[in-house]
Amino acid sequence: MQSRRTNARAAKVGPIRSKLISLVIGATAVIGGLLAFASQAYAQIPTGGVPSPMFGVQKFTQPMPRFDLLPRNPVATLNPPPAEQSNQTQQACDPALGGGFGPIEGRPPGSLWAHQGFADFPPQVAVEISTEGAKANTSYNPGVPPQLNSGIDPTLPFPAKFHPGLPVQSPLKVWTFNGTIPPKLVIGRYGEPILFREHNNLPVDAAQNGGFGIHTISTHEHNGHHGAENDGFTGAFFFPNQFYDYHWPIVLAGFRSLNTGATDPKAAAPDDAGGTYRVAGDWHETMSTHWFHDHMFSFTSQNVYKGMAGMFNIYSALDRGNEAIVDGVNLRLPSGSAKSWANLDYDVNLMLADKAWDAQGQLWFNILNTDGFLGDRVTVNMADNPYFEVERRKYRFRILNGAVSRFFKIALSDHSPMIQIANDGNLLPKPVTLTELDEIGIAERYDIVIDFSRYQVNDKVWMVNLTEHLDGTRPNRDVTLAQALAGQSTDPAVGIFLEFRIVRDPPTPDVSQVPTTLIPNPVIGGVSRRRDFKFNTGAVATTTGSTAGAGKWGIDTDGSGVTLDADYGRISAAPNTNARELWTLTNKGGWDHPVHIHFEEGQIQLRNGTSTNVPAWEKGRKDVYRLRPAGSVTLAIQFRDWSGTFMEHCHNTVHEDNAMLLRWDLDPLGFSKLNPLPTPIPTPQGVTFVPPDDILPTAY
Amino acid sequence: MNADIFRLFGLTVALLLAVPAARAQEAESTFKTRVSGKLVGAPEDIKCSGPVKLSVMVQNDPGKQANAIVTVDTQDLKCRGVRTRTAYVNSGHAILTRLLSSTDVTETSIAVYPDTSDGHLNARSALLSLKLSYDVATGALRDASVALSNTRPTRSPNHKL
Repeated sequence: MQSRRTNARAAKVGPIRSKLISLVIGATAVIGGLLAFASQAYAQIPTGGVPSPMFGVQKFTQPMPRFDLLPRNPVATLNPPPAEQSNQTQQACDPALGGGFGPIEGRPPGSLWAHQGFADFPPQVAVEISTEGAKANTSYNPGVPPQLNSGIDPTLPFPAKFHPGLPVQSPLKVWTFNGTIPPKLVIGRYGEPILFREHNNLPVDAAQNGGFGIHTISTHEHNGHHGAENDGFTGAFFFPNQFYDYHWPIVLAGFRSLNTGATDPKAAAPDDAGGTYRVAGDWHETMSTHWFHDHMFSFTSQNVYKGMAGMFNIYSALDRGNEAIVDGVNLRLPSGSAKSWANLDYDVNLMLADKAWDAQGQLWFNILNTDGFLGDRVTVNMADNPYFEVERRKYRFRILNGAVSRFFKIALSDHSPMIQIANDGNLLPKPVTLTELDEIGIAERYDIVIDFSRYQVNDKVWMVNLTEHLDGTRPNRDVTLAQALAGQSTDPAVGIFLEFRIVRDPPTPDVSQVPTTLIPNPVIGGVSRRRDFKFNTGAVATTTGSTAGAGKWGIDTDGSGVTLDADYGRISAAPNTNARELWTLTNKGGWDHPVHIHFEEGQIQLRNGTSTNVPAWEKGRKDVYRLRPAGSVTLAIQFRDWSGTFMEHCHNTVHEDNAMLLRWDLDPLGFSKLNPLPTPIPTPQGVTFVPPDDILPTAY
Repeated sequence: MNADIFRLFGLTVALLLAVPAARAQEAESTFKTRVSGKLVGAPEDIKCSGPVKLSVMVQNDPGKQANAIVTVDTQDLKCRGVRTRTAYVNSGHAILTRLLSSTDVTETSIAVYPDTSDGHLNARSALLSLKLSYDVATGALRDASVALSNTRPTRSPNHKL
């Protein structure tokens, strides 16, 4: 009864107080570790804990599972059918959620949160998932035959384990999309809108969280060019027993003003017969590698760490997922050719994340640390230090840093070259050949090509992490490859973490290419305004409503001199529709912050004040801007097509949760300070709206 | 327990656990040096020479050893095949997070590849051995040397847990 009362309270009191409840619950789980390492808490990995027990498991003794493809269903399979406005059909609420009645859909009601462009871009594909506790996967679909998935038999149940020799994860510790691993992959293409329906089937009792995480969720399609109602706004969360319909129209940015007649052959998407169909918009805005993850206010780190992260491959005429079609547009990147598009044979998603587990082998997280959490085990696709079998040919790897606070610097163990072709989901203007990738920040994506034809059958080569952390604030140092291979680091995540086994010659010749020109940047014309965001510690809370966060991390906007804690009821910026602006993001401390700007891609113009500091791999479009200690980034960005309430935040998700996040708004109707967008206040019984509790004087 | 008490408790916990929020101090310096070296191996040996620019941002972070963010700019490095006289280019930058000390000896590597349309598919690896000397008091880079050579063959990795 006590836990139910606690939970009912949590449902009513809002995220911050729920966080405190979770904190108190979770504190009992971590206190032992804190006491054991009190004198060296900031040099201990996992952060504040004890080394993860391995139960005799050795590295590279399990295959790396490919992502699990989510079914693409007809929209007619959705019941109830999706609608432009939130479905407010009432249902009984569990007493643990306060009882009474509430809507079946958690999306805020009314026209302001209606799907923009729903009639123009009606969903053609339904992807329906259930977010829930861990269970065995009995429907694993890697999208490739077993010989291209290191021999994994997908017909066998896939247990919720980080390794076959480790314990099954408790459904309270691991929460994932569909409750299963491997992580999920959505396949999409331009011009084919997706209705992503997410059911919240997490425990109604907030205390049933295994010591960390919260059962209210909001899923961000990172970095979709969608209306804000589909962006996973941190304050548009929904409750257990509700669903939320996210409408991903999958359009090229600029579709309202450029190539509106859809005549450009490069602005196109693959059809099912080997051809393409054209779409409106600027083909220079074509995107490729996205991911989706929870964005619950104050709880993103915990929920993502529990497993609420998947990836989304977007296909286009340029990035076809078919390496054999020669039509003058298709870039023919490594993929395969059996299907007309979206071949995954040689196009592999890799989600890197450091984890830790407790003495029982259950996933463990330290919610008391506000600097950033580090695990001591590197997982790839939620598998601990796996191996992956490859053929002697080129492969594309879509690498996502899905960690909470850790940066990775990746090299191959023999220092062989890798070709970086994309950064943050955007193909670069030109490929960049490297022998050590730059440190990849949290949420960044690097797409690379590795040519395994240089090896012989039965050779092995390893992916190596060179970046050492002492704590979650920032990288401590990059070690040399020789040091990493020799284990000369106190950080257990430094060293080899993924083994490639070259197992055979390809059955057919490798016809894939890495062209000299990929996707040139779109033109961003003259800017109308500059904005300035300084990321710092020592933040203060100037508001006290249920939308306000608390923590030492914050953002000073436009030289106000005050570093503010997050408050999703505060509007910090409100660019005009179609505006082009220069945003400067400055790190005022010795830590590091990979800063994510939602919705629109930016182009880095200056790093630390000069254009010559911008390396080749950052000369494309980006959505995460890694600042580095005391560093700054100035980027050009334009706002168009959709509107609503978006965010900007540090993607070290512990920093984000404590409370380095701000809200910015965009309204095509030319709204003003006199008519700002209201803030949603979700409860199980329905969403209400309140006026913004703060609007910064420089916002408009 | 009302909301204000919850909030007060939360802030207290955060303050107790927080690293002292002292401001960091920064220093930026650059140093140009020249490098010459040779990559030995098939299909041909490659000779490289030219300027390398080192830019260092040092961050003094109270309570921690200062970071030095070292940018190695090799854009102007010229490389040429000994046999064919083919021009080789490289990817231009390497960025390293290092710890500030009076002398820092470390390594990184760059890809060197023919300046042709498909050259990036035929890249070779070049080891850059760096020796950096700092004025630790100011964080300024005082001296630097860079050597270019073949990367070393690596032994089987350590499979430690």
